[in-house]
Amino acid sequence: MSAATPLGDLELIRSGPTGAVTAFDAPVDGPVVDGHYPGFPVLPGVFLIEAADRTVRQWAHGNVPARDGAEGGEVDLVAMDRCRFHRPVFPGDRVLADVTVTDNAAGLLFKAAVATNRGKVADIRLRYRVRDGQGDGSEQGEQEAEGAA
Amino acid sequence: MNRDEYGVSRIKNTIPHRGALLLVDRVRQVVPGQRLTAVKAVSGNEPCYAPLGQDAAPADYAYPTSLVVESWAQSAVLLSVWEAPNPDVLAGKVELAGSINEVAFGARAYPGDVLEHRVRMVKAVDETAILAGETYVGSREVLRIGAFVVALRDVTELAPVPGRALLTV
Repeated sequence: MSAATPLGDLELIRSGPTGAVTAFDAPVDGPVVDGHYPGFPVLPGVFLIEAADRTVRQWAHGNVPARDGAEGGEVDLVAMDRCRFHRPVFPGDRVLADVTVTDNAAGLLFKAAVATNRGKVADIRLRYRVRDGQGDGSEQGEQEAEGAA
Repeated sequence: MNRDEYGVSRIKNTIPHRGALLLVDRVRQVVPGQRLTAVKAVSGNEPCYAPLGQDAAPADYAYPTSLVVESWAQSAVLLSVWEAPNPDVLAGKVELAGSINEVAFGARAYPGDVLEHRVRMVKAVDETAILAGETYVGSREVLRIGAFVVALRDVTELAPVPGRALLTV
Protein backbone atom coordinates (compact mmCIF):
# COMPACT_ATOMS: atom_id res chain seq x y z
CA MET A 1 0.00 0.00 0.00
CA SER A 2 1.51 3.30 -0.97
CA ALA A 3 -1.15 5.97 -0.46
CA ALA A 4 0.00 9.50 0.41
CA THR A 5 0.56 9.97 4.14
CA PRO A 6 2.09 12.55 6.48
CA LEU A 7 3.42 9.81 8.75
CA GLY A 8 6.43 7.54 8.17
CA ASP A 9 6.45 3.74 8.41
CA LEU A 10 4.44 1.93 11.04
CA GLU A 11 5.95 -1.15 12.63
CA LEU A 12 3.52 -4.07 12.87
CA ILE A 13 3.77 -5.40 16.42
CA ARG A 14 0.93 -7.89 16.42
CA SER A 15 -1.97 -8.92 14.20
CA GLY A 16 -4.76 -11.41 14.86
CA PRO A 17 -8.37 -12.18 13.96
CA THR A 18 -9.79 -9.35 16.09
CA GLY A 19 -7.31 -6.57 15.48
CA ALA A 20 -3.71 -5.36 15.25
CA VAL A 21 -1.11 -3.24 17.02
CA THR A 22 1.41 -0.97 15.31
CA ALA A 23 4.06 1.41 16.60
CA PHE A 24 5.97 4.46 15.42
CA ASP A 25 8.33 7.00 16.93
CA ALA A 26 7.12 10.60 16.93
CA PRO A 27 9.63 12.50 14.74
CA VAL A 28 12.40 14.39 16.53
CA ASP A 29 13.15 16.75 13.63
CA GLY A 30 11.77 17.73 10.23
CA PRO A 31 8.74 19.70 9.05
CA VAL A 32 6.31 18.41 11.69
CA VAL A 33 8.56 19.41 14.57
CA ASP A 34 9.47 22.73 12.94
CA GLY A 35 5.92 23.74 12.15
CA HIS A 36 3.79 22.35 14.98
CA TYR A 37 4.74 24.37 16.92
CA PRO A 38 7.97 26.42 16.67
CA GLY A 39 9.63 26.31 20.10
CA PHE A 40 7.17 23.77 21.52
CA PRO A 41 6.88 20.72 19.26
CA VAL A 42 3.78 18.58 19.80
CA LEU A 43 2.69 15.83 17.42
CA PRO A 44 -0.55 16.94 15.71
CA GLY A 45 -3.43 14.91 17.14
CA VAL A 46 -4.59 13.99 13.64
CA PHE A 47 -1.40 11.92 13.23
CA LEU A 48 -2.86 9.56 15.84
CA ILE A 49 -5.97 9.24 13.68
CA GLU A 50 -3.69 8.57 10.71
CA ALA A 51 -1.86 5.83 12.64
CA ALA A 52 -5.13 4.19 13.73
CA ASP A 53 -6.52 4.35 10.18
CA ARG A 54 -3.40 2.83 8.63
CA THR A 55 -3.36 0.09 11.26
CA VAL A 56 -6.94 -0.81 10.34
CA ARG A 57 -6.04 -0.87 6.63
CA GLN A 58 -3.03 -3.10 7.25
CA TRP A 59 -5.19 -5.44 9.30
CA ALA A 60 -7.92 -5.47 6.66
CA HIS A 61 -5.50 -6.72 3.98
CA GLY A 62 -5.19 -10.08 5.66
CA ASN A 63 -8.54 -10.30 7.41
CA VAL A 64 -11.30 -8.86 5.21
CA PRO A 65 -12.40 -11.03 2.28
CA ALA A 66 -12.61 -9.52 -1.20
CA ARG A 67 -16.03 -8.57 -2.51
CA ASP A 68 -17.26 -8.48 -6.12
CA GLY A 69 -13.93 -8.44 -7.84
CA ALA A 70 -12.25 -5.89 -5.60
CA GLU A 71 -8.75 -6.59 -4.35
CA GLY A 72 -8.85 -8.44 -1.05
CA GLY A 73 -9.08 -6.39 2.11
CA GLU A 74 -9.61 -2.92 0.65
CA VAL A 75 -11.69 -0.77 3.02
CA ASP A 76 -12.77 2.87 2.90
CA LEU A 77 -13.06 5.09 5.96
CA VAL A 78 -16.59 6.51 6.15
CA ALA A 79 -16.87 7.94 9.67
CA MET A 80 -15.12 8.75 12.90
CA ASP A 81 -17.82 8.57 15.52
CA ARG A 82 -15.55 9.61 18.33
CA CYS A 83 -11.98 10.77 18.91
CA ARG A 84 -10.83 11.85 22.33
CA PHE A 85 -7.31 13.18 22.92
CA HIS A 86 -6.07 12.63 26.47
CA ARG A 87 -2.61 14.20 26.45
CA PRO A 88 -0.04 15.51 23.97
CA VAL A 89 2.60 13.40 22.21
CA PHE A 90 6.13 14.83 22.16
CA PRO A 91 9.09 14.27 19.78
CA GLY A 92 10.73 10.89 20.35
CA ASP A 93 7.71 9.35 22.08
CA ARG A 94 7.06 5.75 21.03
CA VAL A 95 3.40 5.59 20.02
CA LEU A 96 1.39 2.35 19.99
CA ALA A 97 -1.90 2.12 18.11
CA ASP A 98 -4.02 -0.85 19.20
CA VAL A 99 -7.10 -1.39 17.02
CA THR A 100 -9.89 -3.89 17.69
CA VAL A 101 -12.90 -4.81 15.57
CA THR A 102 -16.00 -4.22 17.67
CA ASP A 103 -18.77 -4.91 15.18
CA ASN A 104 -18.98 -6.69 11.89
CA ALA A 105 -22.68 -6.33 11.15
CA ALA A 106 -23.16 -2.72 10.06
CA GLY A 107 -19.95 -2.37 8.13
CA LEU A 108 -16.68 -2.51 10.04
CA LEU A 109 -16.42 -0.67 13.33
CA PHE A 110 -13.08 -0.32 15.09
CA LYS A 111 -11.99 1.10 18.37
CA ALA A 112 -8.43 2.30 18.63
CA ALA A 113 -6.51 2.87 21.84
CA VAL A 114 -3.40 4.95 21.23
CA ALA A 115 -0.76 5.17 23.96
CA THR A 116 2.81 6.23 24.77
CA ASN A 117 4.88 5.24 27.81
CA ARG A 118 3.21 8.13 29.65
CA GLY A 119 -0.20 6.54 29.22
CA LYS A 120 -3.17 6.61 26.91
CA VAL A 121 -3.08 9.52 24.43
CA ALA A 122 -6.23 8.94 22.35
CA ASP A 123 -9.39 6.85 22.05
CA ILE A 124 -10.79 6.69 18.54
CA ARG A 125 -13.77 4.96 16.90
CA LEU A 126 -13.61 4.53 13.15
CA ARG A 127 -16.15 3.07 10.71
CA TYR A 128 -15.33 1.55 7.34
CA ARG A 129 -17.07 -0.04 4.43
CA VAL A 130 -15.61 -2.88 2.43
CA ARG A 131 -14.73 -1.75 -1.07
CA ASP A 132 -16.76 -3.64 -3.68
CA GLY A 133 -14.73 -2.81 -6.77
CA GLN A 134 -17.78 -1.19 -8.40
CA GLY A 135 -17.16 2.49 -8.16
CA ASP A 136 -16.40 3.91 -4.77
CA GLY A 137 -12.93 2.55 -4.36
CA SER A 138 -9.78 3.06 -6.35
CA GLU A 139 -11.69 3.49 -9.60
CA GLN A 140 -13.45 6.51 -8.18
CA GLY A 141 -10.07 7.76 -7.03
CA GLU A 142 -8.79 7.47 -10.56
CA GLN A 143 -11.73 9.34 -12.03
CA GLU A 144 -11.53 12.05 -9.43
CA ALA A 145 -7.81 12.41 -9.83
CA GLU A 146 -8.29 12.92 -13.53
CA GLY A 147 -11.30 15.21 -12.99
CA ALA A 148 -9.27 17.33 -10.59
CA ALA A 149 -6.48 18.00 -13.08
CA MET B 1 -7.72 38.58 -3.17
CA ASN B 2 -10.84 40.53 -2.24
CA ARG B 3 -10.57 43.38 0.22
CA ASP B 4 -12.51 41.52 2.88
CA GLU B 5 -10.38 38.38 2.62
CA TYR B 6 -7.31 37.58 4.71
CA GLY B 7 -4.12 35.90 3.50
CA VAL B 8 -1.27 33.99 5.08
CA SER B 9 0.07 37.10 6.80
CA ARG B 10 -3.06 37.52 8.94
CA ILE B 11 -3.25 33.74 9.43
CA LYS B 12 0.35 33.55 10.73
CA ASN B 13 -0.38 36.43 13.04
CA THR B 14 -3.35 34.54 14.48
CA ILE B 15 -2.31 30.87 14.92
CA PRO B 16 1.13 29.34 15.62
CA HIS B 17 1.22 26.70 12.84
CA ARG B 18 4.13 27.17 10.41
CA GLY B 19 5.82 25.77 7.33
CA ALA B 20 4.53 22.46 5.99
CA LEU B 21 2.12 22.22 8.94
CA LEU B 22 0.30 25.48 8.15
CA LEU B 23 -2.67 24.12 6.23
CA VAL B 24 -4.81 27.22 5.62
CA ASP B 25 -4.08 29.58 2.72
CA ARG B 26 -6.79 32.19 2.97
CA VAL B 27 -9.75 33.26 5.07
CA ARG B 28 -12.60 34.09 2.72
CA GLN B 29 -15.09 35.33 5.24
CA VAL B 30 -15.18 35.72 8.98
CA VAL B 31 -17.86 36.81 11.41
CA PRO B 32 -15.94 36.77 14.70
CA GLY B 33 -17.46 34.52 17.32
CA GLN B 34 -19.89 33.03 14.79
CA ARG B 35 -18.55 31.61 11.53
CA LEU B 36 -15.60 31.48 9.17
CA THR B 37 -14.88 30.21 5.67
CA ALA B 38 -11.28 29.40 4.72
CA VAL B 39 -9.53 27.67 1.83
CA LYS B 40 -6.48 25.48 1.37
CA ALA B 41 -5.09 24.56 -2.04
CA VAL B 42 -3.81 20.99 -2.26
CA SER B 43 -0.54 20.74 -4.19
CA GLY B 44 1.41 17.77 -5.52
CA ASN B 45 4.63 19.12 -3.99
CA GLU B 46 3.44 18.72 -0.40
CA PRO B 47 5.57 16.47 1.85
CA CYS B 48 2.86 13.77 2.09
CA TYR B 49 3.39 13.02 -1.62
CA ALA B 50 7.19 12.88 -1.48
CA PRO B 51 7.39 9.10 -0.85
CA LEU B 52 5.20 8.26 -3.88
CA GLY B 53 7.20 6.93 -6.79
CA GLN B 54 6.59 6.51 -10.49
CA ASP B 55 4.55 3.37 -9.83
CA ALA B 56 1.99 5.10 -7.56
CA ALA B 57 -1.61 4.71 -8.74
CA PRO B 58 -3.81 7.79 -9.30
CA ALA B 59 -5.83 6.90 -6.19
CA ASP B 60 -2.64 7.00 -4.09
CA TYR B 61 -2.64 10.78 -4.58
CA ALA B 62 -5.81 11.21 -2.54
CA TYR B 63 -5.00 13.92 0.01
CA PRO B 64 -4.64 12.21 3.41
CA THR B 65 -7.88 12.36 5.37
CA SER B 66 -5.94 13.25 8.53
CA LEU B 67 -4.60 16.39 6.82
CA VAL B 68 -8.08 17.40 5.65
CA VAL B 69 -9.19 17.19 9.29
CA GLU B 70 -6.10 19.15 10.42
CA SER B 71 -6.72 21.85 7.81
CA TRP B 72 -10.37 22.17 8.90
CA ALA B 73 -9.30 22.20 12.55
CA GLN B 74 -6.83 25.04 11.90
CA SER B 75 -9.70 26.99 10.34
CA ALA B 76 -11.71 26.27 13.49
CA VAL B 77 -8.86 27.52 15.68
CA LEU B 78 -8.63 30.65 13.51
CA LEU B 79 -12.27 31.40 14.29
CA SER B 80 -11.86 30.69 17.99
CA VAL B 81 -8.88 33.06 18.45
CA TRP B 82 -9.60 35.54 15.63
CA GLU B 83 -9.98 38.49 17.98
CA ALA B 84 -7.37 37.32 20.51
CA PRO B 85 -4.55 36.01 18.30
CA ASN B 86 -2.09 33.44 19.63
CA PRO B 87 0.68 33.31 17.00
CA ASP B 88 3.57 32.32 19.28
CA VAL B 89 3.13 29.32 21.55
CA LEU B 90 6.04 30.29 23.79
CA ALA B 91 4.66 33.78 24.35
CA GLY B 92 1.14 32.62 24.97
CA LYS B 93 -0.82 29.42 25.08
CA VAL B 94 -0.99 26.28 23.02
CA GLU B 95 -4.09 25.16 21.16
CA LEU B 96 -4.85 21.53 21.87
CA ALA B 97 -7.65 19.46 20.39
CA GLY B 98 -9.69 17.79 23.11
CA SER B 99 -12.01 15.74 20.94
CA ILE B 100 -13.42 15.42 17.43
CA ASN B 101 -16.78 13.65 17.28
CA GLU B 102 -19.48 12.78 14.74
CA VAL B 103 -17.22 13.01 11.71
CA ALA B 104 -18.35 11.80 8.27
CA PHE B 105 -15.94 11.36 5.38
CA GLY B 106 -17.09 11.83 1.80
CA ALA B 107 -15.25 12.47 -1.46
CA ARG B 108 -11.44 12.55 -1.56
CA ALA B 109 -9.39 15.56 -2.63
CA TYR B 110 -6.42 15.50 -5.02
CA PRO B 111 -3.58 17.84 -6.01
CA GLY B 112 -5.13 20.82 -7.78
CA ASP B 113 -8.25 20.78 -5.63
CA VAL B 114 -9.12 23.62 -3.29
CA LEU B 115 -10.56 22.60 0.08
CA GLU B 116 -13.21 25.03 1.29
CA HIS B 117 -13.70 24.80 5.04
CA ARG B 118 -16.87 26.11 6.67
CA VAL B 119 -16.72 26.52 10.42
CA ARG B 120 -19.45 27.48 12.89
CA MET B 121 -18.96 28.33 16.54
CA VAL B 122 -21.31 26.17 18.58
CA LYS B 123 -20.22 27.31 22.02
CA ALA B 124 -17.32 29.14 23.64
CA VAL B 125 -16.71 29.10 27.39
CA ASP B 126 -13.57 30.63 28.87
CA GLU B 127 -10.70 29.15 26.86
CA THR B 128 -12.59 26.19 25.41
CA ALA B 129 -14.55 26.30 22.17
CA ILE B 130 -16.86 23.80 20.44
CA LEU B 131 -17.05 24.14 16.67
CA ALA B 132 -18.80 22.32 13.81
CA GLY B 133 -18.71 22.48 10.03
CA GLU B 134 -17.88 20.95 6.68
CA THR B 135 -15.24 20.82 3.98
CA TYR B 136 -16.11 20.96 0.29
CA VAL B 137 -14.22 20.60 -2.96
CA GLY B 138 -16.50 22.40 -5.40
CA SER B 139 -19.94 20.91 -4.70
CA ARG B 140 -18.59 17.62 -3.28
CA GLU B 141 -18.61 17.20 0.48
CA VAL B 142 -15.28 15.88 1.73
CA LEU B 143 -15.76 16.14 5.48
CA ARG B 144 -18.50 16.88 8.01
CA ILE B 145 -17.64 17.50 11.64
CA GLY B 146 -20.34 17.46 14.32
CA ALA B 147 -18.28 18.67 17.29
CA PHE B 148 -14.65 19.72 17.57
CA VAL B 149 -13.52 20.75 21.05
CA VAL B 150 -10.36 22.86 21.30
CA ALA B 151 -8.83 24.37 24.42
CA LEU B 152 -6.05 26.87 25.05
CA ARG B 153 -3.59 25.57 27.62
CA ASP B 154 -0.47 26.99 29.26
CA VAL B 155 2.70 25.51 27.80
CA THR B 156 4.09 25.04 31.32
CA GLU B 157 1.21 22.72 32.21
CA LEU B 158 1.98 20.43 29.32
CA ALA B 159 5.72 19.84 29.18
CA PRO B 160 6.55 16.16 29.75
CA VAL B 161 7.99 15.30 33.14
CA PRO B 162 10.97 12.92 32.76
CA GLY B 163 10.79 9.72 34.76
CA ARG B 164 7.07 10.01 35.45
CA ALA B 165 6.14 7.23 33.08
CA LEU B 166 3.05 5.31 34.03
CA LEU B 167 3.33 1.64 34.83
CA THR B 168 0.24 0.69 32.87
CA VAL B 169 -1.20 2.09 29.69
